[in-house]
Amino acid sequence: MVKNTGTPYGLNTFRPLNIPEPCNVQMGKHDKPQIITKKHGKSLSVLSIKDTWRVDDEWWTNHPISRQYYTILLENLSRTTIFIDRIGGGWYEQGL
Amino acid sequence: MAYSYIELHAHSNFSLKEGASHIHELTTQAQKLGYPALGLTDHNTLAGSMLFTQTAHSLGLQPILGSEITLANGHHLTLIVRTQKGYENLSHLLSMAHISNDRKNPLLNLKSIPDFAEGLTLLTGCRKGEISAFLAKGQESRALRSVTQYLDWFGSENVYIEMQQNYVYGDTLRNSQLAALAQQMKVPIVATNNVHYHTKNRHRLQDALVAISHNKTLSETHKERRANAEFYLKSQKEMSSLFHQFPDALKNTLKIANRCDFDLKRDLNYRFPNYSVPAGYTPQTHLENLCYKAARRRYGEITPEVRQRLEREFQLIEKHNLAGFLLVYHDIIQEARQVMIDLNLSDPEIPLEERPPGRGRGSSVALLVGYLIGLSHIDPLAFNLKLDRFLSEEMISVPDIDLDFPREIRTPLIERIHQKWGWEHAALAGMIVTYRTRSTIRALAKALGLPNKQISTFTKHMHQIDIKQIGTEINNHPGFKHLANIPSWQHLGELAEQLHGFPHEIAQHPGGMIISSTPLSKIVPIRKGAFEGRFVMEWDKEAIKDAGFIKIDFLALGTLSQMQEALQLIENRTGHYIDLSRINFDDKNVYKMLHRADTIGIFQVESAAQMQAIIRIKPENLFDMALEVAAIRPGVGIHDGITHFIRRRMKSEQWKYDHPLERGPLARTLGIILYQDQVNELAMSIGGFSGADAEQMRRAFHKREKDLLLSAWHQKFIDGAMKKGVPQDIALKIFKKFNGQYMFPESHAFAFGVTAYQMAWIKYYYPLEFYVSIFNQQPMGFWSLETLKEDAKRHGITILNVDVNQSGEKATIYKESLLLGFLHVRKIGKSNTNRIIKARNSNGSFVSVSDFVKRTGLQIDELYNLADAGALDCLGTSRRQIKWKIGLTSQPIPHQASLNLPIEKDLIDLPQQSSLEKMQREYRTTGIYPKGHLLSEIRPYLSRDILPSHKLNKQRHAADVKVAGIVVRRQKPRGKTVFITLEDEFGLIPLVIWEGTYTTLKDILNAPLLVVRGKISRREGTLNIIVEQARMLPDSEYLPQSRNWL
Repeated sequence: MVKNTGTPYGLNTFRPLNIPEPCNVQMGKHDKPQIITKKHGKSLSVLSIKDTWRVDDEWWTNHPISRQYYTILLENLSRTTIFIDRIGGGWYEQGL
Repeated sequence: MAYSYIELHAHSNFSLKEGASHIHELTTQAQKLGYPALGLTDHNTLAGSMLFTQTAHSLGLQPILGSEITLANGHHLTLIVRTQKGYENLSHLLSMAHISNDRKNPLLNLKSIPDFAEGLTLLTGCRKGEISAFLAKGQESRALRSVTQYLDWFGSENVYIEMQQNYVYGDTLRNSQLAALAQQMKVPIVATNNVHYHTKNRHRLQDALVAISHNKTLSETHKERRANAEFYLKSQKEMSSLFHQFPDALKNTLKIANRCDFDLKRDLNYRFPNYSVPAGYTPQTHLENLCYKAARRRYGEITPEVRQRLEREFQLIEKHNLAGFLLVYHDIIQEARQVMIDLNLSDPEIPLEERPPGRGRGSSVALLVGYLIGLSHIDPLAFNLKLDRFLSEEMISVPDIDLDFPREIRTPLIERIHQKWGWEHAALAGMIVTYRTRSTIRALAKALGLPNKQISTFTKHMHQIDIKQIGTEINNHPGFKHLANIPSWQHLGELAEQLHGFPHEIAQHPGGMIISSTPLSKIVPIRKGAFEGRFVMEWDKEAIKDAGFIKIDFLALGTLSQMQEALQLIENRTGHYIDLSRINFDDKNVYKMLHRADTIGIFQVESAAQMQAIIRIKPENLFDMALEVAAIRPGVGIHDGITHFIRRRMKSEQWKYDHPLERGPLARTLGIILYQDQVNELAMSIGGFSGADAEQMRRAFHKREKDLLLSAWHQKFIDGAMKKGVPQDIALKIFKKFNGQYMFPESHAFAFGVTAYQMAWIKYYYPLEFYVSIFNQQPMGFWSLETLKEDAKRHGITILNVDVNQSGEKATIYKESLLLGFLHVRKIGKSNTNRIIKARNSNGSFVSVSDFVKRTGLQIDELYNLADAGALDCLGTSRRQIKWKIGLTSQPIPHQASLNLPIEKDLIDLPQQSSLEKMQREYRTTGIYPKGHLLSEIRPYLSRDILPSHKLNKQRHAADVKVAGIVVRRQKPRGKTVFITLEDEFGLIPLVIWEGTYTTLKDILNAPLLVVRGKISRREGTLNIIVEQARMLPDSEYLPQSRNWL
């Protein structure tokens, strides 16, 4: 069991997790991600695209969502998920 | 041309609350994308199959039919029709799914499939399919077993592993698993896109539909909705790109499409039931025999005219093999007669024609054979009714015969027919209920999470707004323009325009029934009806007509119930049953009453528009009655035809034919098209059409996809006209007179005109029975009960409040007056009525309030309602006193029985209610105020310049007047002018409100009680007030409701 830290509960104790982080993506053949430059500036080549999917949602609100996701295998053999925001225009890394 | 892919899995909006595109949108898009074929696989239905087939053919597409069915375990399966047998099997499987389960939740038991797999190709289904579900759970062996089972049932060449790539998370993994499974089992793969809309931007409506189907908001349906906008009809190039790793999956779509060889129009196996005839007869000779016998009874002898007409009809009946068909109708009429006998409305000794159970309408009334075998009440020879629209040499399809019945006969008759033929051979026609303006707004508003209160206010205005103008209305309306920039309100306008007209339910047609000797479930899926014991087919009347089915229409007509009851009441009072077919049809008194527009309550001629027309048309005989009832129809009014017809009849307009060839078709209606028949006649006379082509052209105007069809007919008409020497500009002018709005067939107009005259005759000679019967048949007709009551009073009828010692369940005749029944009182209902009558019959009249309370055991609210309705007036002197006594005597349930203690010491003197108080309470409890009218109560408080209705006749044209009254009707026909009728204590006041005035005054004119200032308009004997100003009067929430058609 987790030990009680004694910290009182309150709204300010909640914080969002897994916030997407902006990144740069260079596109290659067939309009697919080829090189990703992460937030800290490191660039890695994409070895393969493992999956891709798309989300279109919340279009009836002030914050519509339209994203194309890619799960990619990078040259360092790590996997990550990135998406392009088709409304705002930028690329983000979503560490799933 | 080489094709790379054909879409085999597409949903139209017949996948109710799932598919987000019309069939014509899907097919047009498929054609635009260069597809040679398209597969329609709506969820658990073939409701759109006929429309799809017709539309696809017209665009040169091969229609492939199928359905995505839901199995009892909740999984989906896609079935594609290859052959006629396959279609029959699919239709039967869908019928089983609908009949054996909850009406709104069709599920197919897997065990039903093997016997009905022939002729079908199975695709393993979407991501909700069994195979996909097993693989997702890691249950590969179960997936293998299922595929093996499918292969056993359908054969190895007819099963395909279905793959979809809609960019939903998990699609890639699933497809690789499916491909591996297919390879392992050596089963071919096939790609589909599970299309739910024709273009990408329609995904929003699809999302909204899913929210609507779950009765939740969009925000609450993340799990239920599709993840993205990728379920649109993609191009072959897009699909090739998505499935470039699986080229066989693409090629197999072409292979499957090539093997589909079923055409719904060509291959349907419908047969009307045979009729068993007595030995020695054929259906034809039996029918002829029946007709000659009836003709001798009707005419006394077979005159040359009768013989000639009968021989002509017999020849056409034989040519088109219709004898059995007509004999089945004769059988149905006999069944209806039996219902009448069961209901004590007739006697086996009375011949059918003396008390016909129903009467014909529509073009079939022109058939003398129909008149003789009991299908119609009109002698077509007497009215020179032409046979051509019903029966001709080159008939394109078997005609409909429509029969009207009183309500009490129609319901048991439908059940008898289901019992006689069984649900597999007799089913009601379906009716596609579509989203109308208000239902569209309400459904979308809920999905978008818009506040109820705002939407209620908004929809109150919507009856005056075109669905396409919602966005503009939100922007301009002072109460809503502050919301115009909120995305959900913006989407409301956009989505409403798309959703309007979508089907949202398959209901039963008001009375259309199909009888077939081949099982209907193999022709079109059958469902349970909303009423126990009724079965409904998935096709609506258009699809049924296209399929060449014979539809029998059993329609409930309130006026026939009224007529039946009135005749019964007359017989009870006078001892004579009146045969309405033998009354004087040239009675000047009846026509004079009609000329005064004294038509409230009279079938077909009581609407405000008919009242204005009848004053000017002044019918003198039954021919004129047919003109009268046919004139006020949208198809006549569309080119101002009514106005021109009336002016020509009144000889106030000079006119001539556009071409001499119009004379034949249009002479009898003064150059105006009043009847459907005249469209055909003009097409033949001017355009040189054959009878069959003319009928097809006329029908094309009514089709949903008419724009596609009409251009060809238009050209044919112009070409034909020019060949006959009609100049092109004249031919064009004549073609423009045709339209798709409703008009009566001529024989239908005669049928309804005769019924209208008969009701007028009853109103004139037996007004008491006329009003009692119309009170008892509510709701029906154009006017509210309060307006009917006022009209009855103007005809010298006294209306009596309900009386606990005299009233029955419904209104009755009591001392030459109309006595209201218990069912007129709010919350009393049938069971309380029975308790009151039983108590009264057992121990005599009630002698006091406490006697009534104790002997009936009614609850206090019910007792108060009776007191407020005046029903207990016979037991006390003041209604307040009566209610006080009720309070002292009544005991709530459950409670111990009360002691019979004296209450006299607890009585106090209470003042009498004022007549205004009584009126308000009577309006609340019965909806009418028998003793008077609101205006007579408030007249003393109105300014003196407000004229009562009976003084308006003395006003000159253009005089300024002020009037006041209760709004009893609001109507906005196709034009922009609004018509309102006010009622005061002396009669009705017709108001005309031009568009500009209405825009300014519309909020005021929505009030129930108005004072109006305007100018008198007198035209051709009519009187209207052109409204200039209006103000509301303070009202009560219990005022009678107006009837609105806005």
